[in-house]
Amino acid sequence: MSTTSTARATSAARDAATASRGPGIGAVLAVEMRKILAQTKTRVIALVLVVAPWVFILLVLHQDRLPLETLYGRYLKVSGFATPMVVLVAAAQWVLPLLASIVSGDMFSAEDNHGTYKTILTRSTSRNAIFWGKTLTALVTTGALILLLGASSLLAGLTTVGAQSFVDVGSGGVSPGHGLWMVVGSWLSVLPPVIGFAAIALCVSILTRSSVLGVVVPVVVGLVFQMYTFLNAWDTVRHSLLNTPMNAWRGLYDNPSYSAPFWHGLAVSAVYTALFLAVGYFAFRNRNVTEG
Amino acid sequence: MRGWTRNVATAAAAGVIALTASACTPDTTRARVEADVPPTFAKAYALSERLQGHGVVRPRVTKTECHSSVNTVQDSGPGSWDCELSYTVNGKPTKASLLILIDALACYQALDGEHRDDTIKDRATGATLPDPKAGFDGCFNVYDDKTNTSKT
Repeated sequence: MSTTSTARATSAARDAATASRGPGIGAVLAVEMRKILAQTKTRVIALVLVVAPWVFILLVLHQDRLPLETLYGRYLKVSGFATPMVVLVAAAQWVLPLLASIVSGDMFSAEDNHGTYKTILTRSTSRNAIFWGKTLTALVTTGALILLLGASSLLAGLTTVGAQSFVDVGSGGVSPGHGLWMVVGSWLSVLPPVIGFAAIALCVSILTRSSVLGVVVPVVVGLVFQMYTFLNAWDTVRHSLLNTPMNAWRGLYDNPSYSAPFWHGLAVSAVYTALFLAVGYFAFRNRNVTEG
Repeated sequence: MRGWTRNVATAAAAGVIALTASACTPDTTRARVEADVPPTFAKAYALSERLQGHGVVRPRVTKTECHSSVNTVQDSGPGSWDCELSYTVNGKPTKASLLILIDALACYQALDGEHRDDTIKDRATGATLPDPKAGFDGCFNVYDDKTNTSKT
């Protein structure tokens, strides 16, 4: 048996032993959440996400013309529920993948940058708990920031325009209650593909040990996906790209509605997430801790 | 090992064949456009009338013909489309020429060229709004069976 495989076996045995008595995923999650919430980066992003929708709708209300070329854009002055929908249409292409990358891209590589892996990987906490604790922290934080943007957009729309009856994408009128449900459902529906982008960022962060690459690579991947969409090439290939599920909610709230794109997008997101988290997990598990 | 390699190669070949076969069907087809635009136009028209306080007025679309301005050979794909609609309102026949701007994600903005900047007054709020029947949004399901791209 080689030295490497002996070390891995020892690591696995130690993990199995510590998993039963050491701090678990919950403890790691709590520590990592405290760390990420204390970061200036996170606070600045949250502030921008809260303020941006208000600036947007106030600028729209201040001018005569409306963004007619954007879904729901023509209804921005009709109902406050249009604001979060227009923000989602715009954010789904660039902002949401970027958010996932910024939050997740240095989740693991930051330990490399600070030289702290020796410290955390030789403590009583198992690698399994550290991996899933850090991963959950990234996903929870990304999800919370996205929902913060959605909530701020909704509040901005309702405050400045009002909670009038809304119009769905098929030009059918809907009650304010249903409009609220449309906003909540559509924002929740983008979380699976965003988690997919976060999984790519986490994987790159582990493999390259570089925070820059952890943030940049998923953004570039998203850019390539976008370019493919603009190229108007094979539609079947585009259906398997991670940016397509970002827009699957459009069918859910069409009139009449259809859910096939949503379920297809859910499957695509699940494949990306499982694949990149699996690669990241095995790379992290087999990492040689003596390297730092 | 040899069997494992053969299985992977077979699966990969099957995947490529399936991908190639399905890739021949574009998302944006004439059948999908012609199926989605008329009912959406009718709802937008009704919404416009309702906002103006004219009660329930819903047009009956009697004929629709849509063609791609970009891919004129196959009549498919995103981009600019032209739709001619014939409809009746309270028995009176009327026509509308719509410019349909379809994106790669199977959603579109429909604009009535002559009236695209028309506005209406919302009777309930008094606000001046873009006329819904002069411009409206729509999306269509790319997983349905409306795959016909015939020009005729």
